[in-house]
Amino acid sequence: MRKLLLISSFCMVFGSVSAQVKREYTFDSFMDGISLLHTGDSMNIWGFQRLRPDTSLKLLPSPTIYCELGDTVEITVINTSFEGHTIHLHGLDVDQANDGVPSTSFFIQPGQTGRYSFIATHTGNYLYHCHVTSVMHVQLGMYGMLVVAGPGGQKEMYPGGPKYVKEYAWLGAEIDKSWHDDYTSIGSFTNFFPDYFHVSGKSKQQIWEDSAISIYDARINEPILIRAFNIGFGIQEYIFPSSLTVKAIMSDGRVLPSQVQLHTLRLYPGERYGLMMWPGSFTQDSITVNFRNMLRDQLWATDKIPIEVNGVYGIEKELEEEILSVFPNPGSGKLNIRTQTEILAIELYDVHGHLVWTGHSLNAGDHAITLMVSDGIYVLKCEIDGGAVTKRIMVLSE
Amino acid sequence: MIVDSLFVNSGMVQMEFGGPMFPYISPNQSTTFEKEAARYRILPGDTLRLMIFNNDNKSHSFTIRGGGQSSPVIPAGNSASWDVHFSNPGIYQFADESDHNDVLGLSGMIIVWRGLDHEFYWSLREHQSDLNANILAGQPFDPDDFAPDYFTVNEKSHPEVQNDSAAVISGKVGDSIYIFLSNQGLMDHSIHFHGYHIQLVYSSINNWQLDWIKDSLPIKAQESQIYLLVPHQEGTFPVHDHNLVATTIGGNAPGGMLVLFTIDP
Repeated sequence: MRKLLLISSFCMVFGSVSAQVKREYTFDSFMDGISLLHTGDSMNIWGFQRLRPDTSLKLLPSPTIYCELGDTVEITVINTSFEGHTIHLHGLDVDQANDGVPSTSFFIQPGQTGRYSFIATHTGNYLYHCHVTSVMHVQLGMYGMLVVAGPGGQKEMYPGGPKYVKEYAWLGAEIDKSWHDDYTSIGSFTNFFPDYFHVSGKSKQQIWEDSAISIYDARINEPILIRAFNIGFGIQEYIFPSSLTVKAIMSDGRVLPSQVQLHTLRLYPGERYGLMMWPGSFTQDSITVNFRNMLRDQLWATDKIPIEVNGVYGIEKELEEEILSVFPNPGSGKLNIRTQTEILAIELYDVHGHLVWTGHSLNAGDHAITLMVSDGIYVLKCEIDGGAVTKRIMVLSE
Repeated sequence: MIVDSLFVNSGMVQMEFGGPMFPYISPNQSTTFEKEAARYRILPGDTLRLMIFNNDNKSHSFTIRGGGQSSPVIPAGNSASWDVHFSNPGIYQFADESDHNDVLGLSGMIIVWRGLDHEFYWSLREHQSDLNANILAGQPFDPDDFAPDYFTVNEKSHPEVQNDSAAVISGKVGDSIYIFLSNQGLMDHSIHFHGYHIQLVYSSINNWQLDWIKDSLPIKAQESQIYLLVPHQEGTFPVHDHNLVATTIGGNAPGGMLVLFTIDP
């Protein structure tokens, strides 16, 4: 029996090890980048750019380090800039040698190369940033997100945890542009007066134009993961519309003792959250982001992240108008359906995804149907040969 | 009954070598003025009798923040006895909030908790070096205009705080190490641990993060907390405010609300 247990243990460990992946990232630290602000102005940035055979980009924030649970990650930093830098792996509980603090770990001097490694032991959201004169190097842009996803890229927050279909990452930070304009003239580091406020390096219309930040094309009941990070020096306060169900599941790479439903999330500097979000109704709305001072909660600025919910999770999206049209819409429930193909079955779902009405098959052509439902917004699903067509309709009393 | 002393002492402080000197009022446990505030450690159920000696040139009185207990008003040069009883374990802040005396330094912490093998204490505070003289001169002070240039643990900025054995965590892998924090200042802070996650085991307010295991923990102004650290590895690591402006000293970096600590094998 003991021999069997030993063999069994060996297989489990061996199986686990064999499934691990080694991921390698090579960065070049830079101090001469340019980032475009929403006002049209440009801003000097520092950061880490990923060296690729084809091209390298100097971005704010620096590229996201992605790995999966159990991976071994090696990060090489080639310092071609003219000041020393490090990478602190924020929240990963690495050993002292890999901690990225100059006085206790090591310093990557100009012209030198440094290497960091860690094993991803917990899924979740982390950060990496330079820890040399941190207040300045971080403010000037030497940071990025670090994501540990589920094993094998599975879309679940942690093994056995909530599953998600889509994910968005929001990295909040405040910018004092005067520091970027001339870092040699900052003077006292307490002279921090932010005038730009970023979500993943963007603000205002830049956010609306970025589908990696803005939530377009969401569906009712669709499980969406929000990865929220704060690398700034103040509080970021996200206020979600009431039509969204939002739960805090994880923070700082650990599963919370219990899930917490919320409408407002306040992230303090260095914190990270894993939120699950389920849209509850069709909407075109926005998530408010307040940027606040650590002194007496003073409001610095407000921005918006748009969210558009235009379908129902599990029901195929609308196809082109010419295949099937429904009118009038909005209407009283007496609908005209014009279809160029045979409809095999009709189903009507409410905003919660519940089936509330079914209809008979229809040949190609024009038809009038009456929906026996109360006022509201519905999804009409028409099964056709080879798939289904859906239409969002609004029923209003005459 | 636990009997202890509280001396209201005034003097000049300096938060860094070569930095500005500014006036300060401190609650001390001896007649000697020192910037580090008094800290009282009692067990649940104990009553603390504080013999208060007012060595300042104006009257003072203390309250327990959020607790409703107040000391007598003690005129300059006088003394009084103040019995304070705590029915629940926790960390309590005593302060003289009149005339912004607490901003001048006149507040401290009373820890009411069971005895522990490994415990450390952090009184968090910010200081604006050019403010105190103005407050003492009777000039108006709007807390919204507070512009601190020093950020301290036990009233000491890094690196001076490294000499404070009550602040510098030490222990071994596997130890249960408790850190008692009391934010005496006007600002919120976000305490980030390198190398470890810790558990928030107590908060003086209704804190939704109670029992969470984290590496970055917010602490609001006038909130007190207790962290439990059970180290899984050895090493020397920093713990600091991740509002990185607070990791400065007199406008320079690094310094301020930053403590280096070592865990042995």
